[in-house]
Amino acid sequence: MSNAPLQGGDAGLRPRDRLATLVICALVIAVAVAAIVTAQDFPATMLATDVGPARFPIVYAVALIVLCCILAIQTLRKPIDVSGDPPATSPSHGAVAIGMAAAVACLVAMTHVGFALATLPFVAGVMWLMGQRSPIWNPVLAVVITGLIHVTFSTALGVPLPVGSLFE
Amino acid sequence: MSAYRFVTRVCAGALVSAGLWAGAAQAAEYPTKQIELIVPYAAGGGTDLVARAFADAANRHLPKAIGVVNKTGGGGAVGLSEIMAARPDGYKIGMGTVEITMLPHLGVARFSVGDFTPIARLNAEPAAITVNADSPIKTIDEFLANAKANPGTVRVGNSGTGAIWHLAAEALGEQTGIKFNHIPYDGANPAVTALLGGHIEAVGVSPAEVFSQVAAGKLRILAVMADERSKTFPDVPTLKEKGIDVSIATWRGIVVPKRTPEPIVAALREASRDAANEQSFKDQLAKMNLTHAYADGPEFKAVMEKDDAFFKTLMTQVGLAK
Amino acid sequence: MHEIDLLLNGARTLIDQPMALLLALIGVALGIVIGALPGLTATMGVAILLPFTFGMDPLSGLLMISGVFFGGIYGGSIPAILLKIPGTPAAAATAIDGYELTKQGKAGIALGTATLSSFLGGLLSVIVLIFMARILAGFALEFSASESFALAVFGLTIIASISGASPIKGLIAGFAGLLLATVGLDPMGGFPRFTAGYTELFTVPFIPVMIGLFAAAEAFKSMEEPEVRGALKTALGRIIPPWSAFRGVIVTILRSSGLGILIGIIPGAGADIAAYVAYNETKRFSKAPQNFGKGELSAVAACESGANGCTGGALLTMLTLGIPGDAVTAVMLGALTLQGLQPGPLLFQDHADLVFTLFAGMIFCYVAMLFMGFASLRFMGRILQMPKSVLTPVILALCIVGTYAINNSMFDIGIMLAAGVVGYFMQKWDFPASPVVLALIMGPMAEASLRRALSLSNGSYDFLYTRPITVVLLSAAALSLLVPLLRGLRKSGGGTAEPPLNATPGRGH
Repeated sequence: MSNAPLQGGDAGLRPRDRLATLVICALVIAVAVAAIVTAQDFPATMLATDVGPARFPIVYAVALIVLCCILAIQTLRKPIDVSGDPPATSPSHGAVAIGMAAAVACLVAMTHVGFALATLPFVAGVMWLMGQRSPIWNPVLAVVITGLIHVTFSTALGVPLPVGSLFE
Repeated sequence: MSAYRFVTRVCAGALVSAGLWAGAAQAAEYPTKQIELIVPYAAGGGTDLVARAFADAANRHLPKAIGVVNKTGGGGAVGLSEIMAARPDGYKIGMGTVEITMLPHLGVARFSVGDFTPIARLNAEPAAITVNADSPIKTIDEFLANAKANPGTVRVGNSGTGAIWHLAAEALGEQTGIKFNHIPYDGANPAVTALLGGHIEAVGVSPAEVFSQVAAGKLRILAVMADERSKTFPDVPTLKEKGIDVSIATWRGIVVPKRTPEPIVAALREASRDAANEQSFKDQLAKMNLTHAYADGPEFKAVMEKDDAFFKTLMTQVGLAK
Repeated sequence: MHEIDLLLNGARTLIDQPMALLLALIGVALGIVIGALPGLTATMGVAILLPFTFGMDPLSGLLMISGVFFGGIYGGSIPAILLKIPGTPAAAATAIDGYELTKQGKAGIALGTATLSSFLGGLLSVIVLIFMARILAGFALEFSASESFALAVFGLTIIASISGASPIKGLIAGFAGLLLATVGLDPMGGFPRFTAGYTELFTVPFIPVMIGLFAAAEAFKSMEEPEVRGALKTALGRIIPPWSAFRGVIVTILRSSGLGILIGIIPGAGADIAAYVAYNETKRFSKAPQNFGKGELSAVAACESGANGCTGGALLTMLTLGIPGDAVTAVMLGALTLQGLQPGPLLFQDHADLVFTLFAGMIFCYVAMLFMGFASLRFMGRILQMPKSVLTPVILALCIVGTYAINNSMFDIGIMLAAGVVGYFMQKWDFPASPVVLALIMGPMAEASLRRALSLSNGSYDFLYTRPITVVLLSAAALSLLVPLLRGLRKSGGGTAEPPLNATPGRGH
């Protein structure tokens, strides 16, 4: 967490971080409001002395809204640091997005074709994504890694792995 | 138009007979691969241990092994839904529990009792009323008289709202017209702990769950909610003897999805009967203080339907039904 | 003392049983592996092993299970320190400072301290279990709903001390975690809250969320800088902590072990709570609380000795009262009954020989864990030399498989990935993940206990000030909140010092 952009009390905020923090506040407030609205429909329990299922979520949601408002105000009051030093190497957000999408694709594939067939291309793909482009080593390593995980979990520990609906 | 209908009918007929034929062919060699036994509760718990002991015993009577898979969550709802939705080919069978007849009425389940074909009941445990050994109350009559005199103050611990032991205590309250203060705990063990610590007056859990405490003289069972006295505690009266018609038990048994072909059901019933009557299985249950209560498919079905009707009425009466 | 004789007898019996000793060793090794893999916890390890022990004699079976239990609690710390992937919920607390130490190139000492602290915490707890079981047995029964509520509130105040640079962001993360913790069946009425009809959400998928927030988020982050060779070119360094560093954490280990044992005894509270409480108390007594969260060795020592101190405490309650305090001991209770031993007050009378042989075996397990831990650390440390391009997909694949293993559920994998994405953005804008995990541990306990306590007292809030343990815990909670506040006022924005080379010695009690 130490290399995160926001650090050191009163240093200025870069406009992007300021916007992001405000967006996060808005999102959390939206979730909290939705929770409060949903909780209105929770029925009371049959226990006479119970506060009911809605009390705790509502208290938490209200606290969240208050905290987010405070953070938003704090953020708005901080000076904007326009000149601020730009990071030396800009992180590759495209790669992260592709990686996340690949993980989701792997999950979807796993429900159909099972653990091994979904994990092989995923592992090889993420290696490629991270700059390891060997056409020989990537598949070989992927097979070794998938195999090792399979043996550790399925054979040694007896933990079942996803089979996939096509093979059930 | 009619020609079209004819074609459709022929096609449908052909499909059905093909399906039946395939089913019969399947059953002839069933099982050809490993059978998965879904347990809707966590590994190491009572239901899981019964399932594993059963799988051990059944493996001696089936050409392919049974593997136990735990699918926990939602007080059993996740695992039971999975059993209901499984392909009815006999390769995914389930450990059904009394919750099959309760969760649908709570409105938290997608299944109902009709979605399962019962194979065999393996175990059943009655509810019981247990108090701390230090309690001045020695008999069930005193307990009920005391509760009647102080409505709403006698705290009875249970294993969760809408769970079997809660309903047992509710049923007792309904029958006798007594108002208890029902305290839900996260399972039977925490409720027993609270009783040991003197934080509540009684629990409604099964004798098996308080066995070691009773043996050590820390707790006292006042009555069991069964038709007959318990073999482990022959001195404890039943509520029936006291003129209160409440008989509630939890049970565990093998179930399959409802559309499972008849030959497969028959094969499983036979294997389950042999497995349940294995001495090793009976010994394993005895070690856990559990009651061996084998019942074949039809008999088990009757129990399930009776419980389903009973819990529906009871839950509507006490306001739990959705 | 009577117990010493029994223990020596037990040790003698044990030496004659090489098979049991071997199985105990296998159990410890297996436990370390299971604990180190994300998703697989000590509970699961014990449950996986249980069927295999059916055929063994009671001593071998129970020792093997104990080995897995002990090793599983310890094993979680290894990936937590090396990769910021907590193998178990308890290790999520270890990861806070452990991973910072790795980034500073002190992975070896962090791992060594974790190993030594786990060993000492566990050993002390077993010793307490042997000699003070009868005295402490009653303590578990003192804990009713109101005490559990107070403990949970106390636990939640720890959010204040693990929030990192920005307290308000820590609080937002904590309350978001609390709100998340209310998803699922309402603890009192059984009403499904915020589940959108998914039965999978009837219980909060706590471990998938934790794996996602820590491990998957870290993996996504490492994709930011695609480079084949490892960015973490840090060497492992020395493993056995130097005496000067170790001396500084002795008091911490003793205090944390004691806390761990007490928390272990309490039903419903386990290693995860113990690790966080130990962290908090160590920070409270530290001379340099500002170093916590930036790579403080005594924080690692506290979490690990607290978590392993729990083992003896949990066993104490289970063996003397026949009550399992947590999921692991619940499975062990099953194992004991299956072996024909009924845990409970009669166990020590009827089976004293076996029980004390078992205790001797537990000490053996912990000693074995110490040596196995140290022996494997060099090997484990190789992970740091692995190219990031290989490590990242391995971590993600392990997250997926480990999450699936908890419930055999694809749904959980989805939750884990979603938490990973959220965790990535949280990390990017400095919202700490540990408060979310802490809230997920304590939130359900706080809500269920308060509402249960209200039912027990017929709606009266008197229990908040009439029950001694409740009052003590609630006061400690208030102190937890006030002290950092006062410190903050006194310090008023002074710059933080460079993280120290050695741990800062605790101030004692």
